[in-house]
Amino acid sequence: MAQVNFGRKLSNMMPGFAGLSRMTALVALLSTMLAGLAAPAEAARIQRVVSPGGIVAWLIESHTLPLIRITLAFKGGSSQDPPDKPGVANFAEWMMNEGAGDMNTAEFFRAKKLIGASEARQMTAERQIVSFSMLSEHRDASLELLRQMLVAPRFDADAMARARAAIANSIEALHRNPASNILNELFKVMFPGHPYGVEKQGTQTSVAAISVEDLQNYRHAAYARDNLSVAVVGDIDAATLGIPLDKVFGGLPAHAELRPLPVLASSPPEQKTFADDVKQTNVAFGYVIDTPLTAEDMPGVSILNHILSGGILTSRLDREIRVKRGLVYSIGFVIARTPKNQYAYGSFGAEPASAEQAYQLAREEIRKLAEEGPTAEEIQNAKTYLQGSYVVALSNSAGLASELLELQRFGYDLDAIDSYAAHVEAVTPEQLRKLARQILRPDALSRIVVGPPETAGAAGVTTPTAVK
Amino acid sequence: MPKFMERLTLLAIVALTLLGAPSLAADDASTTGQLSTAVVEFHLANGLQVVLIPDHRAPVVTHSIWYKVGATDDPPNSHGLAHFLEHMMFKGTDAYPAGVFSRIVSRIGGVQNAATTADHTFFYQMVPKAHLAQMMEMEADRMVNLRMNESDVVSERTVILQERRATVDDNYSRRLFIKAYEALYAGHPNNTDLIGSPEEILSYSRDDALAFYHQHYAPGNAVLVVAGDVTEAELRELAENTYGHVPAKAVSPERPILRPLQPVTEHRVSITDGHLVTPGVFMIFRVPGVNQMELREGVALSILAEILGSDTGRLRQKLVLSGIARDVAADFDTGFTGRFALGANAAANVDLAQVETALAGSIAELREKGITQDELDLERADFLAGVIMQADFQMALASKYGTALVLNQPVGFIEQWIGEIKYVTVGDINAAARKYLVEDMKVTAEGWPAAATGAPAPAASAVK
Repeated sequence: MAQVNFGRKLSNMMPGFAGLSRMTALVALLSTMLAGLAAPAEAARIQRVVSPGGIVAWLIESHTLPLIRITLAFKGGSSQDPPDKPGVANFAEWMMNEGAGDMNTAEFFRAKKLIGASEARQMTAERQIVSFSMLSEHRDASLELLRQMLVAPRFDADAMARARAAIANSIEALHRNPASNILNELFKVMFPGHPYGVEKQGTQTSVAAISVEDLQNYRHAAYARDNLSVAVVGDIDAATLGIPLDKVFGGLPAHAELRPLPVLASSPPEQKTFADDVKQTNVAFGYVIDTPLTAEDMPGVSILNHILSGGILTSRLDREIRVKRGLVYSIGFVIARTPKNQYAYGSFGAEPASAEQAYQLAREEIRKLAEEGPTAEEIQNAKTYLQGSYVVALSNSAGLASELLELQRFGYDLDAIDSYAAHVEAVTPEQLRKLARQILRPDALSRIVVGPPETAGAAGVTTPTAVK
Repeated sequence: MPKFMERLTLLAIVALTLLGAPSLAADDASTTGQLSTAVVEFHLANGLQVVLIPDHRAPVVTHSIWYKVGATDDPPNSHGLAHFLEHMMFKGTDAYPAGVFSRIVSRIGGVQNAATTADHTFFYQMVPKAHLAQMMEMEADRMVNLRMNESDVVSERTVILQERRATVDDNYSRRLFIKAYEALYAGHPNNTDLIGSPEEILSYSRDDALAFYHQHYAPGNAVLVVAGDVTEAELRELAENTYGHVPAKAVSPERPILRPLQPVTEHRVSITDGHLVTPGVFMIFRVPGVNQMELREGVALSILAEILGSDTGRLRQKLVLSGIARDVAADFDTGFTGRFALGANAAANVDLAQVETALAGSIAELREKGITQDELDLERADFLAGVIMQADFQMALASKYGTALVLNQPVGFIEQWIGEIKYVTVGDINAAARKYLVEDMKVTAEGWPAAATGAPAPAASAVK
């Protein structure tokens, strides 16, 4: 089972030897932090803050720890890539971390570190997300760095060359590791002709041709104020937040210019097998859900997902395939929803000789749940799971910030956190049976298999080529 | 970070103190005078050490139990038994048959997991606070009442084979490190992957596993760390009513077990793998473990790893910005044994020999000229900011204490470590580099892409 690894490198915290002769005075730092955590809880409520300039942010104040986390998202993502030039958005995302303002890459890393600011980025087919953490003590200086990241990236020639080479290497590494690339291959067959099915890093050819102008075009089109969602959690109050919001985001263009994302349509199932020098066979499978899902459906979708695949060792897939038969070490299945689309996919690794059996079992479990629906006990357990796990997930500021962003994405109200438990409770067995028939479609499954050559099927075997 | 740069903590393996330093287990309440007023520590009569880190921001608790047993305690010819037992701990007691524990945690919305390292095995659940009592009751129950069906033994062995295939066989980075460890730790339990060989895995018996369990799983050989929304009074009562009923039991042999370390047998190893795109090279130095190093030295090496390998570090400047490597890393990993490692993946069309020369040159320059005050100040700022950021996560706090206490460090250790960060000097770091980054203790590990272009190049032995 995997080891947990949170936050910064744990190895920083690994102990050396406590030399008894070298006792030093206690440093107040950790004590102060821990004393704060021991204080009684503050009520957490969402405030919708609007800056003088009209920037909207959802805020949860928490003054226990002297830190602030801002998570923001721009709609757009790799779906905005020119059809003949995949990889632009990904390249632009990389370049966000290669200097800004009058600081080159190295200088910007140094500036962040000096004041304890850190950032992480994530780019999907639909969004660019930036998570930025800062110490209260250096709030304004940190926000200035965030501002520069967003409005003044540099595109220095050496940084561009470095990014280009790194992305090219990453694309090649995926091609040489079909097991690592298995979901991309699945999405290609699940989403033909749709941006979801395009490798977001691009191709060797397209990446070689991406110019600074391409990157600027994407930025100007997507990084705009009317395209922005902001979540703030931590040591700042509503009255204070407004001015910094305008400082950070006010310099962005007012309006985005995005190509609308097409709605997915399901396509006939396909199977593909790749041969590779591996000891384990990996299988990925999935399909498009044609029935549009609404916010009201989501508690029920979450319940069904948990019953099928959520509970470690207790879900239907885990129970039948791992626990009872020992065929897999882990298996997962996800029902995914975006504002316009919905689809489902799963994967597992198994001994080559058992992979087919494991897949058929998975398909059968999906079918059973679709045709018979869940039991009353499963429903009850899933509800209590969802209610409890929601509370657990929101026990730190990073989890809260992430949730605030998701609530905005799907148009929930400010009371969504408080009303979640009740919405889950209200789902009925009839709703679940109906939903299960709509969203669980075992006969629509496409499948990708990556396994050793001797077990690869005769038809559709593809050996990864070195360079595309 | 690409898989090839996987950190050595995946392979953190217990070693045994050479010098038999005295245990620093804080079994005397008077040492709590050194603690933060918030962290509470006490012992039960049966020897269980309990640590509470309060966090009342949310009605959530993180409950973790850390056993002082790991891969280094595996019987010879039965490697991976400690890890196997970790799996079997989920296979039930009379009160909570197989799968029931996990089902209960799942039903209440908890996060749960477990892991085995060289030094320890730990189990945790993160749950809404109302369920802490039940977590403690169930965990205390399986500390002493584990049963095992023969059929569970058989099926879980195959699950572990799957895990091995996924995490070792098809993982070139891990395979390369095992080769390096074979050279660094000849004749020592560290010299093999903690998951065991397929033959060993298939040979585990119910009797062997139960014997190992009875030998090592005891309250006096464990640390309970609870972080979250619970008070001292509540936790004391809960601990007495659950773990308090577990009988005391002597654990034999006492840890850490003394085993001598042999000289490094080979100073260069390599693997070839078709999944690599460009070659990479690591340098791994064997260094003493916690019981053989001053606290100040451990802190010095920890900061040195950042000065070398961080995004503002020397290796990035020298190798990445110059274009010869596409990424670099450095890591100080310590427990009962320690390792200091650095490495780089070559950029496209760059000879690995050039990369190795640059790495070796960085070490030589470090030993000769040392670091600057500015470098130290920068990493110190980073570390101290990290203390604040990590205080946001109950699991991070619990892990800090758990991983220190299973190594018999006192509970005040964490704050001492932070104190040393504030006071460590350039001179301290330079001294640690000269003392510990020595050729005799070094293995160079190379990873080569497969023969798309013909036979892989021989080891770059021309490099100093």
